[in-house]
Amino acid sequence: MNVLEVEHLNVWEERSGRNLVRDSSFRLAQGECLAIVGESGSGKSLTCKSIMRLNRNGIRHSGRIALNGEDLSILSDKAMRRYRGRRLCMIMQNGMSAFDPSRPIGAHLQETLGIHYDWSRAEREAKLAAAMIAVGLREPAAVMSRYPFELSGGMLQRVMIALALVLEPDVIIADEPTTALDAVTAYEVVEQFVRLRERLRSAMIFVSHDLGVVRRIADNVLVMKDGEIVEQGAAREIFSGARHPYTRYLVSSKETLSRHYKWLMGGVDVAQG
Amino acid sequence: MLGYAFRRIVLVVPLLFVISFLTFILNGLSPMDPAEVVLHAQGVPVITDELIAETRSDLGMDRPLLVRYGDWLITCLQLDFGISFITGDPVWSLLGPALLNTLKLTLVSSFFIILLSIALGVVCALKEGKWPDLSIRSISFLLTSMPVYWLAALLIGYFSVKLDLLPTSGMNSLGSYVLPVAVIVVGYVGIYFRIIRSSMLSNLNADYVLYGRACGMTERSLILKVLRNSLQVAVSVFGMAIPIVLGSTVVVENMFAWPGLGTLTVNSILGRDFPIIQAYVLVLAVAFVLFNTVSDLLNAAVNPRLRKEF
Amino acid sequence: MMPLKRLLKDKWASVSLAVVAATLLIGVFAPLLAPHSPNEANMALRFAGASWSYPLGNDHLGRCILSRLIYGIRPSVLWVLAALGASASVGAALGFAAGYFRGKIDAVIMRICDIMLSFPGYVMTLAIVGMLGAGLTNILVAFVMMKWAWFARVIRSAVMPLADADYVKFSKVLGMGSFAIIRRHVVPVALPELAVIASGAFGSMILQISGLSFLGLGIQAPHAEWGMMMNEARAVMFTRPELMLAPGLSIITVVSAVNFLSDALQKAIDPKLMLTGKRAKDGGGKWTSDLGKKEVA
Repeated sequence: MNVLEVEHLNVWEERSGRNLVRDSSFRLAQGECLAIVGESGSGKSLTCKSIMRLNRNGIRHSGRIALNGEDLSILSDKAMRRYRGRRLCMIMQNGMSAFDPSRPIGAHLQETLGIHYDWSRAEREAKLAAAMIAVGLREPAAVMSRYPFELSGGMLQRVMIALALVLEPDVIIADEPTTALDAVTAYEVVEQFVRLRERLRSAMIFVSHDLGVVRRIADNVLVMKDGEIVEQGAAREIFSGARHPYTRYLVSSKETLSRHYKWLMGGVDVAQG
Repeated sequence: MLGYAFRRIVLVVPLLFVISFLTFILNGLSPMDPAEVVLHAQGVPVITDELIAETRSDLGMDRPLLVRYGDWLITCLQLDFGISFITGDPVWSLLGPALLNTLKLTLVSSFFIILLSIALGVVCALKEGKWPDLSIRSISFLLTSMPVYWLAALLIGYFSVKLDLLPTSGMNSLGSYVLPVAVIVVGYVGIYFRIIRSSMLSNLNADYVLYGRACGMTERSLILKVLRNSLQVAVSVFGMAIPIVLGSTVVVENMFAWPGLGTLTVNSILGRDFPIIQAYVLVLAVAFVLFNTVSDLLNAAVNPRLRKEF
Repeated sequence: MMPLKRLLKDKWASVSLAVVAATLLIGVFAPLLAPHSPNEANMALRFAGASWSYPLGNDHLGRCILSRLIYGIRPSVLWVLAALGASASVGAALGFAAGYFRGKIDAVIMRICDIMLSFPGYVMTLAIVGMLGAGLTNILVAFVMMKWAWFARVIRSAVMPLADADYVKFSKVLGMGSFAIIRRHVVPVALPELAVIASGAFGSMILQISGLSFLGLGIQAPHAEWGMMMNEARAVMFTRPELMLAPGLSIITVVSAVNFLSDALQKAIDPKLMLTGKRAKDGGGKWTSDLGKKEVA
């Protein structure tokens, strides 16, 4: 059964009429992880925001987006708001800017849980603490009382994952969650995402342009270029035998890049000359 | 927070020394010999070189600069800024009441500047690009380009002379405040509401608003967060605004014959009454530094991030 | 040049530019354009209304208002521009030196800047005018003394990253002299920023100098200056309000044109400013520059 169905999604800029995403359709099955890859400006983020109905003013979209068979575009703003977080949970690219800078992290988490569940404060705190420990944040109470600028990007990413754990959404949408992190932290965060999937069995949309990460986590891959889906299919097939030249280019440039990197590391003296 | 406050206050001390020293040597800029000025001011008919030399030593001007600075600073700390060349009164007896009057004008004006700037800034940010935003911005643009005395003349002509509603000048009743405050507020609101507006806009478009929305938070709750964060910028901006207003009431005071520092200073400049000018500069520069310090402290109190980074 | 092209695409910016340019030209060629001598008194024409030979009428001494308005451009606008140019050059030179050579030069110049900036501008101008005496020259001297620090600080921060840029280092390796490097690489990049601050300060300086003249601290009679003309008209404000109108509207026109141009220039140079969404990061920078605008006054 498909959790999420996107059919003929078009996104455009209202003022100029410029098309940003063209006629894109895809579906997401229960427990599936779909990676959306493509360079920046290819419409990955816009697709995610359209699903959440969070495009900023001046950006419009059309098409059918259905969550468990229910068309999201006909929901009232209030009903849609209740779905955000509870059923569609977003994880942002940059944890450092994702939380209100003048309140402790805990305030955001408490407020979010307060919107969706009738738990007491203590219950919310206990659930958050358990989730935080599960994602490797060892001192939940201390983390919750910290301001966002007092935590590292990796920790804030884990906080967002922990919140998703508590919310138990149908679909998790992670918009380049590792891009702003260094390689080691990114690896750890990706491992948390893998575990999050194992634990929750929710479907996930994972936006990235790091094909290494995609290979690790995704079942299916969707390749976007200039607002259009140029290829979609199982991750394994895409990596071994891409049909579209652009995908082949992406895969090969990833390999060239790693070869080039190895060459650089081995050839320091050449570079200095 | 206490540690921050302490460090911030300690920083002010050397600045105050530098400022007072600069004010002290400001006198040296004058092309006229102070001794000669004193003699002129006292109405001595024939000024001879001996008389000048005598006056110079009477004034203690033949001693080294730093010694004179030290003495001067100590007398200044006792609010003794010397004697006015023109009236012969102690400077502080003229300056003190004038300072008080200017402060009243400044604080009342600043209050309205802050209130209006926040209100207009918030409205414009929430209605960005729509007619309230556009019209407020164009009107304020025009008003900012207007010379204050011209606006003052218009207002006096209409409200005081034609309608006879408000006094044209002086500081006799609450009504006396209306026009000068209006003129000052008009001059500054245009600048400060833009700051609030752009700060609101950058917050409205910030990631945390998007994430909050993605977590299902209500618009009301998000706007409150945006307000809170925008007003943090506002605190420091307004902290700076008050001393700037304090230093620029000169034209308005003259226009409305407000018995404040501006009127006193312009008259002193025209009459070359140096002790008053010097005292004016010192008092305002110190006030400027103190206001800035207080605004920094206030800012640190509302913005946890600043305390940490310092 | 891209920014200039973008600027001229904006209709209102072009109009503003035309207004400013026309004002400057009229000021420069005042003797050719003014119908009468600005100081020629004729008591027979005292407060005369508009006529063919005196299109804007005559003032309390029977002088031609139009001619005085035209000659008034010189102190009100041209000299302000000159003072602005002087303080910008001083500030830019010191800012370049500080940002480019770093070390002790930087530290000393920046400390002086900090001190200059910690004084309220208006108060310092009054102080300098108070000590040197009233008069246009002294106000202009005060302007230069007060304003260079703003330019120095901004230019320094514009130069700093450039001094570290690879192409500048490369030029150094090639043995290019410091001044050649500054001229070649640093000036073209820092110039737009300089233009933005200068144009922002220009409007408020015009307002300020006319304000000081209005108070009698600026240019001395009988010379024509817009603030001065309004000061003279003040005495007959209620019987002949039109005397305040002409110089007042002149100032408003020129200052709004300058301010508008300054905003347009800022947008043309930094197109990111137009997309408010992108401003989250440097939102702080904007208000400090706005503040600077007033405080430069």
